[in-house]
Amino acid sequence: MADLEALKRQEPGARERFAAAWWPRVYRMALALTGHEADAEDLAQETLMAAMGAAEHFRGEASEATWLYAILLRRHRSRLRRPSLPIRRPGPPQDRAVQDALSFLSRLPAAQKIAAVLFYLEEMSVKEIARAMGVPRATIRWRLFRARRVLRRTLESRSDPWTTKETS
Amino acid sequence: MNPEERKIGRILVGLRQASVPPLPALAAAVADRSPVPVGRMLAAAGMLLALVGLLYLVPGRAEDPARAIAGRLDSAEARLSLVDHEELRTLLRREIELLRIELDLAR
Repeated sequence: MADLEALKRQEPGARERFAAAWWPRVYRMALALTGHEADAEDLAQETLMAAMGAAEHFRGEASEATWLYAILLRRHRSRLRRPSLPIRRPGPPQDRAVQDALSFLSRLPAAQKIAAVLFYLEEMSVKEIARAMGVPRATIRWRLFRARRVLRRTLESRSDPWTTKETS
Repeated sequence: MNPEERKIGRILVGLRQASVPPLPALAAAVADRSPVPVGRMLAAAGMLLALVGLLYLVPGRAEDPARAIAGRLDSAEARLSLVDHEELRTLLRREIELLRIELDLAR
């Protein structure tokens, strides 16, 4: 919150500190949503720039993370409505754990994907997720329920390296 | 969390190992709102009011009032998830609040 307050006061270096503090988390969230490194980088950059422009409107009713992720989600939906962007070269191969997570997420529709990532990765509460996504808590619970069902079927249908890890 | 949720959590937490590119140089900040001509905003607000009014005027089949209100509430929430513009979101949130109050009164 200190970074955001400094940003609102337009202190020297506040933008750089704010961006540096949030870049890794916002990038990883963007990667979870887009599934592609180059798109994630663009989305994360847009999000931080938008957040810095809107800092004066932050009233502290939600946490900084909730507020930032709400901006990221709106930017993501906005990008989805744009005409197709040119195909980019893939980035360097990611760790197996990252690939597994992205593969898992790719099975979910966008709304469930977002809810699942905010709940399991960012460990946000249902209330915070509902605020970030602008929907009621019951809707978030429903999306998480649906996401768990899809992911459970995925686990059951595999010969399942994850189940093997569980039992070893 | 039950074992299934813990398993899902372990898989998704793999994303924390994603290599993060260096922070790019950020240009001048851009506000998180797109300017919308006043005329379009007024037209959108007018359409919203017309829709709400129509729902009251058009005779519907006899049904449990609470269910009808719950249906309108779901519809409003679905529309909110599609709208980016802050002013429209504020109007929709207000509509949702009023519908929730109406639903509580109908029960």
